Amino acid sequence: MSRYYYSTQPFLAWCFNHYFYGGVHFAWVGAPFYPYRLPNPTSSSPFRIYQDLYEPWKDRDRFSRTIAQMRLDVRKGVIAGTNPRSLKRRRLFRLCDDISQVFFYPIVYRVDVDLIAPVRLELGGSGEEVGSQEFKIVDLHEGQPNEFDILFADFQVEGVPSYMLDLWNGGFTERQALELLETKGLV
Amino acid sequence: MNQHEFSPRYPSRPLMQFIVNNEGRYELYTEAITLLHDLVVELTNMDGKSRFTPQEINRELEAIDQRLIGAQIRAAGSSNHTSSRQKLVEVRQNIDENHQLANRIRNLNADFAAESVYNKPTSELTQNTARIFVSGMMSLYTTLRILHRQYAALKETPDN
Repeated sequence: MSRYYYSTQPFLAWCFNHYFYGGVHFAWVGAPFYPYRLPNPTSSSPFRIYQDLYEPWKDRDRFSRTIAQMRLDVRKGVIAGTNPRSLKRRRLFRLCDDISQVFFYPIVYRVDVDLIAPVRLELGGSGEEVGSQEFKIVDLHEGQPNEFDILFADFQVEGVPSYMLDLWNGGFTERQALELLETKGLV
Repeated sequence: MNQHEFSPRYPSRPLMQFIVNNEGRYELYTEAITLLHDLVVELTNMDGKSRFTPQEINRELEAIDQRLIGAQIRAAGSSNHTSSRQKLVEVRQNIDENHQLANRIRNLNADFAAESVYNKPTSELTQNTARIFVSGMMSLYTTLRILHRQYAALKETPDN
């Protein structure tokens, strides 16, 4: 079994997990990064997901199916992480629906599964069906020790807006981050 | 099998307007769409992974239905109550029809798994039907998102 598993996610998902769900991250992780000739279907290939997200992000494709899919995925996180009828849910839903595409810049989580207790590595989907190398982890933690690294967060090279870099560098409270996303991110 | 059979049931245009013209209704309906998408997406093998179990989704959809019933009861006291109540009934019916369709696609997959000698439950047939449903759900979500944004912009225009 591979030691390192990968999960490609939009930067928006990282922001939500970091600022609004207490630094606890949800991830489907697959291995290796490019599982060519392995049983992993497209939805379990971190490389394919990266490609499918990076290209419409770079092209600013307003009609991208992958970005629409990611909006729904981040919405699912909102359902899991907030209370029904709460103002927080309503505000986060609005961000999922209307935030600028620039927030769908793909980043890659790298998880050393040797450091994760087996009970937290859930097998599901194609992992069960066709034996692809993947797990669902619902509670990856930031902090000491960090349970994952982030790869390909090349914000400066990509020339993303400075407020994205500010969010990445941290230092905001939950409320400040929400206000920043609403004032700068909504289009 | 034809594409129409597994396409989501779209709300009529007036019903879409009714949904997007109110924040609460928009939130509830799009939440239902998000959950129904999750119920089937795994079967496509390409459009993403499921976040919730079917049991969790059934529970959440039941809670949404209860809130819509509550809205129906409250609508009884409003001036245009007949129209609002009727439309809320249609919203509930639409969610229920799409839920049944999603379950039908899942059952197709389960039937195939029971018969399969290869232990590969997600057949090409299931993948195709799931893709039709999931694509339709994404397109419905995108349509509502755009309509809702237009409605919000209109509301903020001083002349309105």
